[in-house]
Amino acid sequence: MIHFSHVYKTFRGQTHALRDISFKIERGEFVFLTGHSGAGKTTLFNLLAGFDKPSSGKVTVADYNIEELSQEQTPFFRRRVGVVFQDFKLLNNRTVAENIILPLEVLGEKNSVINEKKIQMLDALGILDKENFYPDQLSGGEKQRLAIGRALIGQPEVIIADEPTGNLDPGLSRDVMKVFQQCNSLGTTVFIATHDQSLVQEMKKRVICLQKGEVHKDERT
Amino acid sequence: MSVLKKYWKFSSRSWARETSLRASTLLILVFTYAVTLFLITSAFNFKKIINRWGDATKLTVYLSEGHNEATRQSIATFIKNLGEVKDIKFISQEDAVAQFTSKNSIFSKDFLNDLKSQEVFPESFEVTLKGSLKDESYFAKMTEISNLISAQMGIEEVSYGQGWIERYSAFIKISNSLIGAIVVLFIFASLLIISNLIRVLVYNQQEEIEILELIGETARNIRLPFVLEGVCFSGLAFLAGLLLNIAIFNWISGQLADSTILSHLAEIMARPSLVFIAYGIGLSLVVGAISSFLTVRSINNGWALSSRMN
Repeated sequence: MIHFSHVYKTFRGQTHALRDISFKIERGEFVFLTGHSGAGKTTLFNLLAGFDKPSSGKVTVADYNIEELSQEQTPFFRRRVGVVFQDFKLLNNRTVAENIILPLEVLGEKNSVINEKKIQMLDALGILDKENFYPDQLSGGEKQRLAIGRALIGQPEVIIADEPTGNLDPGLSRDVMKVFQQCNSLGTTVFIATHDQSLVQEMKKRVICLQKGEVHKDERT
Repeated sequence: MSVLKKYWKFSSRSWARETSLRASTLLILVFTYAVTLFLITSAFNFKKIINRWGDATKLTVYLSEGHNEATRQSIATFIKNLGEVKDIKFISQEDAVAQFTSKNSIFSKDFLNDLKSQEVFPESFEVTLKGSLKDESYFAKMTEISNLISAQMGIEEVSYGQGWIERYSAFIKISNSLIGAIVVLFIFASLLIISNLIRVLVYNQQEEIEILELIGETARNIRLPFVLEGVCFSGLAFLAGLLLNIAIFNWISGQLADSTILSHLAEIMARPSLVFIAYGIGLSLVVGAISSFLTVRSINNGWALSSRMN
């Protein structure tokens, strides 16, 4: 599902953000990407999400070669990969319901289908009673659950998240992780970049640890 | 249908946020289109009035004193054979005096009676050429024919109001070029006005564009509401400008009709025809579409979020 093969990412001034990164993630796996600040997590996340291209090597996500991703292919690639950010990236002028159905509108789904999936998703996230609220009226945990719901509602094959619990307290972080676990149990590949070691240890999943732009450890627990 | 629905959603949300920006842009655009239309309609009407005067242009071929009947006949045949002549009319001395008398009745009767007894006016041919002063080649044709006739025996002078026709031709050429340049300038200004509006709208909705890209919306669908916005804006402004123009011309026409000297101009004055309106609407929609498309394409390239992430 995700394949990095001898990937290098070099920025101006010959700074190697990533060096010879190689790993493979199979369909349905749950993987954490950890490492200290500056280890290269965000650079790797950007390559995975198709926001950037490698300097050399090959990155394949959901059958798309990121290096060869054209402008026309990009939207279709993004429909197969759900992305969650630390800062949620919600539209504050739209209600919870309007935010969550955005991917379905993009896919051109019928109103009846949109309505049905919206109720199912909001119910699963525990925010059905807040469907007419605006993001500003939600707590941090609720916002992140909404962001995850929006990434999941289009049923992507992979979901990648960059520090999804970075702005949340430990209790809320666990709630958010439960949502990821639920979607993983339905077959979605989950890839989470985080520096929250306690959460990683608690979850007991595969961990890829980066250090100075290289894969330091790749452990399955 | 879904495109229109999407546009309606986008537009209604967006209008609520940028009402004053849109209203001010619409006003400026209406003014721009109104001025452009006013210039075009004025130029058209002005040309119509001038052309009416120009249609009355004729060559007057004055015959020299003491010519005989045979010379006159040969001159008449020569003129007819030039091929560009629509009509030729002989004006005897008596006819010339009669014409002068009827047009200048303000002179004293004694003076006019004296004219009849003296041979003040030479005999002449009044020659009407084919075509009209509206045609650009008409003036050159008139000069050429005048020169050919002047070279004949028995001709005193050929006159066609050379001075004013030259000035008329120059005026028409300059005014056509000037109006054309101003219209092009105003169309360019409209492109910039719409482009500015779309640029601001895109920047104000950058976050929304990024999120739409993130969830897999195509660049085409992201651009479409902005392009439709430009098209609707331009079309709406054109219609408002047109209505404003019709109102102004109705008012001018009313003022002219009330005037004792210029009332005949009110009959000549034309309002924009349906064909002109159709072309105008078409052009305004094209201006809106091109302007907004080029603007949004240069900003929204499908990688708005990527550029911020890196």
